[in-house]
Amino acid sequence: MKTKSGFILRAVGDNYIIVPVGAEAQKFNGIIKLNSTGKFLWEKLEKGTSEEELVKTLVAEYEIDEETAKKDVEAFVKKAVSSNLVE
Amino acid sequence: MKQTSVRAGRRAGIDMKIKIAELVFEFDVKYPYTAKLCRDYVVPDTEKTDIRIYNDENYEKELEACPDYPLPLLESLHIYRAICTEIVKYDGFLIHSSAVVLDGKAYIFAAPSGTGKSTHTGLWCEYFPSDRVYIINDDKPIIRKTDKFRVYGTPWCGKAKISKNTSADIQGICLLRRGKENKINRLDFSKALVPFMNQVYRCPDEEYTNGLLRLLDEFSSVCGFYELYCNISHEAVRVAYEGMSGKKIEEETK
Repeated sequence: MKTKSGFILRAVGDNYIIVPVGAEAQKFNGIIKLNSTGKFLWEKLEKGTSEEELVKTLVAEYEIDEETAKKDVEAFVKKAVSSNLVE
Repeated sequence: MKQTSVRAGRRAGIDMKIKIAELVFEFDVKYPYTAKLCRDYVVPDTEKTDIRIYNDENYEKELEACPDYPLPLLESLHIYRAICTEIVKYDGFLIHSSAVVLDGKAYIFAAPSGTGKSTHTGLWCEYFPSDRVYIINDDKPIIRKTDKFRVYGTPWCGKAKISKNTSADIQGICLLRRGKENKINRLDFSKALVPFMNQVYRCPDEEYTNGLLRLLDEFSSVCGFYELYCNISHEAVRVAYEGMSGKKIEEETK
């Protein structure tokens, strides 16, 4: 799983947002705000990874239990898929 | 500035040179509509052009998407989009809003079309004495940073065509929402970010997007953001003014 190339992650103030550019912006011109976990996951997804890998890195990075990490990743991926941000 | 004066198949047009937000734009149009709209902003031909806009006539394709729009209007909007795309390189951006100036400070009310921005700022003009208040742009002002961020009047300003060719310091940006009661809150930028950016002109170009976000990052650190829930009343004006200025309205002001 990987983020689509037409979506870029940027910081504005203390916030992280995803903005569509190019052809993606013609289809969807909204803005998606991410929290710090979202930003962390997005950066992993930019390089391409699997859901299992995301859970592992999240557990390692935030020192949370696997179950919580799994829930967070599932929710994030579900949103990313339904918003058409990943392929 | 790079300038090219010859284009293939150049047709007869109206040459325009206008100054917006302290920048001179040069372009030509086919229809007199834009020329008339821009008349208060025209500068002499001797002024140096900062930005040359090429009217590529792509707007003619937009007619399919908006068949109700007359071509002269589409041409005009096309020119303004091009201006707003270029101006980001000069630290400027368009905010879809009605901007009212009171005692020299601009109160900028942003919201989706149909919310009541113009209605609200119209009430400001009713409420305050006319020598203290005016609308600088009723729909599409430009905010640009020179020594600091200021708001500018532009020829493109909505249906009622209310604008003034001048600039003003910014008191704050207020996201306008309809409400039964009048209530104003100061917003953290993180809360204002998405609704604010939804009213800022964007184009799909990545370079533009990067420039805009850098600019907004800086703007967010110096500008106050608010949200106003309001009905159509003078009380709404008082609540907005007091919330954004931190001043109280004395009875005798009225």
